Amino acid sequence: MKWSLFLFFVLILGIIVGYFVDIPSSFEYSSIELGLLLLLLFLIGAGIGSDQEVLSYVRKIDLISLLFPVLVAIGSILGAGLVTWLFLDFSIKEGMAVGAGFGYYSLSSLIITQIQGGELALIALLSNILREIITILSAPILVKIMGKTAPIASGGATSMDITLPAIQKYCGNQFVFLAIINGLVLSMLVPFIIPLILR
Amino acid sequence: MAGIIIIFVIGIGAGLLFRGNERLKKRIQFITNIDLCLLLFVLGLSIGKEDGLMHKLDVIGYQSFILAIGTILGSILLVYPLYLRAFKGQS
Repeated sequence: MKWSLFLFFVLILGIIVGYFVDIPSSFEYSSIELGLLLLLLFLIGAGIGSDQEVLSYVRKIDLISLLFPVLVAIGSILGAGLVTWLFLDFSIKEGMAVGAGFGYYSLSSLIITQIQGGELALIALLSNILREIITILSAPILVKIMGKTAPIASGGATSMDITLPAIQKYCGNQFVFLAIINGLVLSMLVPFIIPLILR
Repeated sequence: MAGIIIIFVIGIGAGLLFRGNERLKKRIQFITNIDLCLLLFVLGLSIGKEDGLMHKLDVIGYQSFILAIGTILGSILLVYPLYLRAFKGQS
């Protein structure tokens, strides 16, 4: 939680600097962003690949714990598409791409900047941060109404890290494994699905 | 955008080669964090310099909130039948 607050602060700092400081127009945002993004994806991949613990989890995956994140992915994308169609004035495709961030706000907004540009990226960023915050705050209520897997679904890709403490507290230790698999699978789907939807 | 996926897969492969190397894992984590900070800062710069965006933060905030609720409800509802079948007994 502290780390994501820090990242949020870095972003706000960037926005303030960008707003008040007159940056020369020769400054190439998109190519710098693309370079850093490709490096980030390589590093995230290397982090997952080199993690012994991740591999031990992968060995224990069964059909149900794999079906779970797939349903979360479909539900997120359809849910986002539906509310975009009902309440918002941009295309359903764009709404679905934001939904396909699955709570992974940094990666999803960065991928969306590359394909679509600033405004949708900002929406993706805020929306996926909100998903995280709402999950943490509503976890005890969700457990009561929709069962102990609801906070894991709600947390999406963050159920393996940022929302995991809340999940452990309100769902119990027996759901930690599912939460980690869920987060892992959804995190890995983000860079595949967003370009697929927006293209 | 195929580049994104290819780089990601290469990264996983590279990680697998150095599996279990704790020092390397810590270094990867450290560089990842620095890279992420830089990226978010540059993303912030590009958002901040677009005048139009800052003046409709209220609209963007509303849209983001609606989308967050939509994704949360969508995922919970779709998972619910699986919960009833496979997980309810564990509670």
